[in-house]
Order: sequence, then structure tokens, then C-alpha cells
Amino acid sequence: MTEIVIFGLVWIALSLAADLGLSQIKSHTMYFIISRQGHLAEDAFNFLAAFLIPVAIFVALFLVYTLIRFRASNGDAVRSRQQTVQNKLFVTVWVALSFALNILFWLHPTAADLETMFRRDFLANNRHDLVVDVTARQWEWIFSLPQYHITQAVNRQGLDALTLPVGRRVEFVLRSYDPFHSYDVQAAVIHSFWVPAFGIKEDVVPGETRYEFVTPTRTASYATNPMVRVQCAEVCGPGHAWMEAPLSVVSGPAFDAWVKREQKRQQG
Amino acid sequence: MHTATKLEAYRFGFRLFVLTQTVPFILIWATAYLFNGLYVSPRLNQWTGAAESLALVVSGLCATRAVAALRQSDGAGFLAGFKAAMLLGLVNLGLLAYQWGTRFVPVSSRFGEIYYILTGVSAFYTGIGLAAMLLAFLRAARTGWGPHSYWDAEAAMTLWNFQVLMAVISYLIVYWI
Amino acid sequence: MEQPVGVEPSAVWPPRRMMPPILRGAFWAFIGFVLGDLATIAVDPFQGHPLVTEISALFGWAMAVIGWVLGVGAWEGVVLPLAGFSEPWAEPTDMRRYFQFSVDHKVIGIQYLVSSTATFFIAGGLAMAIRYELMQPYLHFFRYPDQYLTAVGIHGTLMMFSVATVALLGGLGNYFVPLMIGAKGTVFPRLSGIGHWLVPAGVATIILSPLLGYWTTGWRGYEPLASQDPGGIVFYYLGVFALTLSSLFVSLNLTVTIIFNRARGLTWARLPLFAWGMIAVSILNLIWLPEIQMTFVMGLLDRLVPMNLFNGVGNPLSYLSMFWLFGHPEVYIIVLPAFALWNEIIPVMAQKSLFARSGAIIGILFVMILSGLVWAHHMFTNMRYSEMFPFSFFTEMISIPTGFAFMAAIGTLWRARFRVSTPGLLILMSMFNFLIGGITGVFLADPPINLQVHDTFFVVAHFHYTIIGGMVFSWVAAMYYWLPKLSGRLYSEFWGKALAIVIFIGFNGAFSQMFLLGLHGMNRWVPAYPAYLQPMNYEVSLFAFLLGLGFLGHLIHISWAWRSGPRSPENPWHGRTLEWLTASPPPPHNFDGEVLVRRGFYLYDSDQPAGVVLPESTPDPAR
Repeated sequence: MTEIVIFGLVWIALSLAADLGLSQIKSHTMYFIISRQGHLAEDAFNFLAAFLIPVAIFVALFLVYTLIRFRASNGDAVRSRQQTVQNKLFVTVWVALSFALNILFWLHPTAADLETMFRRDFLANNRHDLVVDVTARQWEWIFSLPQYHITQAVNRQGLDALTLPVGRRVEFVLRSYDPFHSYDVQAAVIHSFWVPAFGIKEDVVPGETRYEFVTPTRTASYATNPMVRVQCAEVCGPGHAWMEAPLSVVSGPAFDAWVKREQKRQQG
Repeated sequence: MHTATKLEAYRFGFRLFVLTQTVPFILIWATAYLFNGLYVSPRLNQWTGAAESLALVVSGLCATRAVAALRQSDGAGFLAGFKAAMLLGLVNLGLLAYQWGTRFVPVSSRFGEIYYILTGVSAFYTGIGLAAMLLAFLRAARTGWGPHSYWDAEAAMTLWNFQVLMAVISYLIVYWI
Repeated sequence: MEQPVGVEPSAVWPPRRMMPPILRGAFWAFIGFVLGDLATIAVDPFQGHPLVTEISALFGWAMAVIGWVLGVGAWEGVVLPLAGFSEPWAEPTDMRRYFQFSVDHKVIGIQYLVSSTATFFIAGGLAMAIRYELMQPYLHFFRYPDQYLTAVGIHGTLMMFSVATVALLGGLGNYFVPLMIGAKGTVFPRLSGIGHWLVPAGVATIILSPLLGYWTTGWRGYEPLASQDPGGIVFYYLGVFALTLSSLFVSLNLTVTIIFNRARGLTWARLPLFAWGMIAVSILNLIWLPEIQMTFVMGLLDRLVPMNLFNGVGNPLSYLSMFWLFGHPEVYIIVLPAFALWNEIIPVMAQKSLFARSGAIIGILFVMILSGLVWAHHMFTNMRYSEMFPFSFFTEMISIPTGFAFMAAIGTLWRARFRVSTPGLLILMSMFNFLIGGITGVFLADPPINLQVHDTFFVVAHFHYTIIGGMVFSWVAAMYYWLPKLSGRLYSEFWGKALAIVIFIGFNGAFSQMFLLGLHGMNRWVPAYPAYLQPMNYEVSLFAFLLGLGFLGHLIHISWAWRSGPRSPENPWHGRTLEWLTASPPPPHNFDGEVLVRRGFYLYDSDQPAGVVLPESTPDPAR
């Protein structure tokens, strides 16, 4: 009995301390997240962590505890005094808890978050989106903004770059093919559209058009935090590592200015 | 281990192996459904396919009867049965080769891909089955088998009947469903 | 296709003058390749191609593998007897028997162990190269990015198909399962014998794949990138085909052996946990290995014919599904034997009855069943949200039976007097590592989190925690645990424990930081990355080198102990499973008599042994 009490107290103390620590850093568990979707993921991460940390500590502590309290003092083989092969209470609690935790996790965050994500995807909720056509080719991200007649957004160096306004819902239209090449069925592979700071990625598959909805929640740029970049996350050949593009999230007026610059650049 | 238990183990193990080899077929059938749904190319000649399948079914019966003959110590009957089974198997492959040769379904078409993969894999297994029967045949012809040493013949027969079943199902899927 | 009537082995070796089998195998393989290649070129409708094309390499390879397997001894050991010739074939009794086709499950087991260990260090060397490259954020060690990606692909492919799947099943499984069930041999010894020699063939194929061109897909061979890759991908498909065939053969043999060759009194209720692990793994192999083989055949046809199955006008996602249908059970193929080993070794080290034995077995079986229902969680980035529901559900549920392995271990350790020997320590470490791997798996099962960390180093860390942390640590533990049985010798406890601590620190230091790298935006398959990730990558590499050195240390230590360690007592751990009832190393027929099992192996409530060896005369009642 004393073993249980000692173990239990240490476990509870450590778990509380760890969860307290988690609550201190919970806005940084995914480092730098600046989208509604990303915050959903980060909240889910923190929620799961709050429950899983005690579970992990229980087992890890038990292993350490074994090394300290349950070790044979010398290497001789002595039959253990205790030979329990079954303990209904322990097994029942273990099984019930693992079911309870898993069902809880599936209901929340999984099912609840999927509902939220699903709802955000309804077209009815997305009427005034900023549409960004994203074309993935080997190895380049090409951004075009049809609403503003920008066919390929580039920065001063002529490299693909994207700027988005903060707080406005963006509809990314994702396709994988090579627009600089006559159509060849062999010439497109799977890419994955990922902005680390947005907390979401979507594979871009040849032959399919996919949509992703993201609302940036604060201004940031690749220069201030390199997680604000478009990055290919699915291996797509030798150039995969360099298939990235800087991203900026700016205020509304700054976005309008950027649009003007881009339009001007297009006219030559 | 007793010879009886040993035989039982061989039989179980071999059937288990044969069962695992349904998995590749199931995968292709699933792919066929995924890509083609229930489409059947109008260029197919149902009767050639039926002849191929019929050759295999009869061949399977011959092989089964041959092993039954072996159990009755009828060595000559076994050899004749396996010979007939192998010949019919070759007839099946010949018909398939003829069909492939005419290229009546283009390889590049959606249906053609599945047609060639499914018949090709089926022909591969037919080849393996024929090789197994040939080994058993040669060995029986050399050493003379009786009712107590028919395991290899039975194994070849099991493999062959499995392949007959797979080919017939594949025929139904390619030609009819 | 065995013949019940065995051919009398003659005592003469070699039967006639012939090359050493491995040399002959290599020679026959070479001839086979040349023949297959030239024959294809001869009928190739597109004359004027180079002497080796992808298609001719395919047929050359098939002939080479057949030549190799026949050359190392399957010609005398399998083909001639099957065709009715009785070739005088006797295995040598000295070292040479390890270098040729064998039908002794102990020889086969050691062959498998040696092959997979060698592969482990080859693929591990590649991992070191990868880590060296990643110490800088730009390409500095590898010359071309596709060279780096090929290294990643070969590392992953070898580790998965010729180490993780093979070491515990082909190596320890072949060696110990018959011993642990009190059998004198396996049911299909020739099958396992052939199986082993497919491993060097497959490994060589994959290592030589860059000869046909660097391939960039990693171990998963995703289409349509694979169709676009240079020819090396052909050897990737073929190498994996040979390796999976090897595991398939062993699985078949072990399953039938466990079902039919158990000793008297060894009921299913008393079957050792390791045997349960092996049978569960074997069933998974029997179902899913043919599936991946056919998938790869389709991939090959898609590329060589060519067809449009998996590219933009076909369906790339169906390849992904087909791959992961096998790919996720594969993960459990790797780790189920580790679960079994934990609960095999812990009761022995604690001399305490195994807690909730049936729970541990039910856990293994349910993981086996559920593993076929979770594959699409590798593809959350491709799914409609409604499709995510069932897969995230089953993925989360699979942690419940996984937890049973922990439950049994914890129940057994509770208030035990656990001997912290090297295997004991490594098992505890393995449990810790797998715990981290499992817990992070729960995060990955949640789609919103998954959409962020998928394809990042978070996932890399997660699966290395389950595979190295779970399987490799348990493998090393089992090597120390069974070393006295394999060699009759003991290792040094000091060096064993010191090296265990080294790999524990190296492993956790390297891979725990990879979780953070992933969360910080480090994606996979990159030889270059944004510079802000460099400091942590540099640290990871240093720890990885430590891990590599630690494994090398274990290899040297175990090899030393195997050859010249101090003599071990008959049953150094006081284990109760049947392998301890015979000499170390065991005689050719395993037991000098017939084994009778009287009670469960994991009951330590009395001194009564679980099994005894009776003189041979006792009649064998039909089962």
C-alpha cells in the first residue's frame, strides 16, 4: 500500500508540474502559428498534451521507480515473494481509462475540430474570399490572383512570392502541372502545399484540383519569421528542398499597395 | 513427428500459401473495379475467353482425377491425367498468346491496362502451376509413386486448382462483370 | 512441396568437387544476369538500345536471383530432390555451413541475424552520411540532391525490409521459435533456407540500384514520381520484392511450425509470448506482403510498359492507398515481436509470474487486427474531412491494445525484485522509447495536428522512436538475453550496460530534438533547409553519431562475447521457457529426447519446472 501511495504522490506532483509548465508555453507549442486553422491544431495539440503528459509520466516514472525500488539488490535469481498474475481492479481501471481517454480524444478534439474545419469549407461561408491559384510544378510555386489579374506574383528579384492581407479568408486553389510545358502525363508529381505558420498542409496531386481555406490572423513575413513560407512538404524529385517561396501577411492597405506594384510589374 | 501429422502440416502450410496468393488477385480485381467500374470493352471476344477458361476448368478436373488415381495406386492413370492437365494448360496459354498477339485491346487504354495486368499475372501463375505439375510428373515417371507418396502431386494439383479458380474469376471480371 | 521421405544424408562433404557455395552462387548469378539480359535484348523490338535496359535488367535480375539461390545450394538441396534425383547432400558441420543453403533452423537463424546485422550497419552508415549532410543547411557532403535522396531511400528501404522485418522474425524467430515450442525442427526447413539467401540478393539489389540511376522517392516509392525517376527505382522494386519474399517464406514456415510442431503439453494456452508475437507477425506478413508485391509489380508495369495507372490521368492516390495498406501493418510487423520480447524477458529477470498474460496476448492479436484498418492516416493530407473520421478513430483505438503490453509489463514489474541486467535495462529503455513513440502517435492521429506535422521531422522522430526505440532496443536486449544460448558464453555486464546507456542517450538526444525540428518547420527529404533550423540539426547529428558509435560498440562487444566471452552456466537467467532445457548452443536435433510441458512458462509461484525432457522411447499420442 505504501508503494502505491508514494508512487501515486510522486506521479501526481510531477504531472501537475509538467501540466503547469505546458500552460506556460502553450501559445508556443507549435512555435509560430498565425492562422485560424493553425490555432485549431495548436489548441488540439495542447489539449492532448495536457492529458498525455500524465500518461507518459505514469509509465516513465514507473520505469524509473522500478530501477530504484524494485531492483534486485544483487544479481542472483530469487523468486519474487509476490506472484500476482491477475488484479481485476487494476486491469479494469487500465482498460476503462484507456477507452475513456481514446473516446474523449476522438470526440474532442478530433471530431469537434473536423466539424469546424468542415464548416469553414462550405462554399456558402466563402463568398468573398481572396482566391489564390497555386500551381505546383517541379520545382516552383506559381501564385496567381485572378481577382486582381495577377498571373504570376513575384518579388523584386523575380522569384515567386506571395503576399496576403491579414484577417481575410483566402481560398487556395491547388493544382499540380507544368504550365511551361505542353501537356505530358509523366510531367507532374505529387507536391504538398505547406505554410508552416498556417498550421496546415494539403497534398497537390496531378489530375486533381483541391481547395484549402485559410484565414491569417496577424501580420508577419518570411523576413521576420522563416516559418512564414510556402514549402513543398512531399518529396517531388531532386529540387524538392528548394521548392519554397517567401510569404508575407500584411495589413489591408499594404496588400492593396502590393497588388498595385504587382499589376504594374506585369504590364512590364 | 508422425508421417500423418507431417502430411497434415504440409497440407495446411501449402493451402495457407495458396490462400496468401489470392491477395495479389484480389488487389487487381479491386483495381479493375476502381478504374473501370463494370465496364467491359466491346472489342473483347467472349468466346475466346470462354474457351480459355474451359480449357483450364477441364485441366483442373484432369489433375484432380489424376491425384485420385494415384491414391488408388494407379501410377499410369496419374501420369496420363497430369499429361492431359498440362496440355490443356498449354492450350490456355496458347489462346491467351494469340489474343495478346492480336492487340485487340490497346495497352494504353484504361480497360487494356487491367486486361493485360490481370491476364498476364494469371498466365504467370499458370506457368508456375505447369512447372510444379511438370516437376511432379517427371519425378513420378522416374521413381514410380504409390498411394503413400503422393504429397508432391497433391501440392501441384492444389496449386493448379487454385490457379484455375483465380483464372475463372478473372475471366468473369474481365469479360462479363 | 516437401517430400516426407527424406534423402539419407551421406557423411561425405563436399559430395563432389565444387566451388564454395557463395562463390558459385555469385558466379551463377552473374551468368543468370548475362543470359537474362542478353535474351531480352535479343528479342527487344527496339534494337540499338544500350546493352542493359530497364527491361533487360528486370529479366537479368530475375535470372540472377534464381542463379544465386540455386548456386548457394538450393540446386542440390531443393531442385534435384524435387525432380526425383537423390543428390548426396550433407551439410558440413563446421563454419562452412553458415555460408551455404541450410535446412537447420538454427543455422538459418544465425544466417539471418548476420545478414540483417550487416545490413543494419550499412543502412546505419547511410544514416550517418545523411546526418553529416544535415549539419549544414546547404548541400556540402552529397554532390547532387538526388544522391542524397537515394541515400535516404536506400537507408529506409534496407532498414524496413531487411532489418526491421527480418531480424526478429527471420533471425531470432527461426532460431528460437522451434526451441521454445520444444520442436526438433521446422515444417518447411527448405523454405526458410531459401528465404535467407533472398536477403543478400535483395540487399545487393537495393545497394546497387544507383547503378541504374539515382531514385528520389524514399522508401515508399510514391507514384507518379517513381515513374519519372531514373532506372534505379526498378531495382528498388525488385530488391523489395526479393526481401518481402524472404519474409513471406519464413512467416509461412513459422506459422505452420507453431501450429503443428508444438511439444506435448504445449497447449495454445501455454504458448510462449514470443511465439504468439511471431504468429501474429506471420499472419500480417502472409496477408500484406503479397499485397505490396503485387503493388510493386503494377508499379513496374506502369513504368516499363508504360501504362497510366498512377499518374495524372490515372489515380496517384490509389498507389498511396495500396502502399499504406501494406505500409501500416508493416509498422506492427516490426514492433509486435518487440512487445512479445518485453513480456518474455521481464518475468525472467524479475523471477515473477507474468501479470495478465492473456491481456498481453489479446493486445498483440488486436493490434494485429486493427493494423489493417488504419492505413489512410498516412494520407490525411489527401482526404475529405468525412473520410478522416473512421481512420482517426481506428488509429486512436489501436493505442488501447498497444497499452496492454505496457499493462502486463507494469503489472509484472510491480513490487518485483527485478535484476537490472543488460537485457533487463535495455527492455526498460525500449519501453520508454516506445512510450514516447506511442504518445506522439496519438497526436498524429488527430487530423488537424497531423495536417501540420505530417511530412515533417515530427513524423521522422515518431517512427524512429517506435522502430529503433521499440524494435532495435528490444533486438539488442534479446541478443544479450539469448547470447548464452546462442554461443554458450557470457558478455561483460559493465560493457553491456555502459553501451546501453550510450545508445539510450544518443538515441533520445537525437530523436527527441527532431520532434521540435518538425514543429519548427523542418520538412522531410531535404538535403538543404532554411538556415534557422541549423543549430538544432547540428546537435541532432552529434547525438546521432554517438548513437552510431554505441551500436558499433554493441556489435564489437557481442561479437567478442560470442567468440571468447566467459563460459556461461546452462541457464544463467533461470528462465523457464523450453530453450533453456537443452545444451548451449543446442545440438542439431535441439533436444536429447522428447519435450513434455507441464505448466505455463511464466509461473514463478513454485520451483517446479515448466517443461521436462523425457527419454525418446515414450510413445507419441496422436494429437
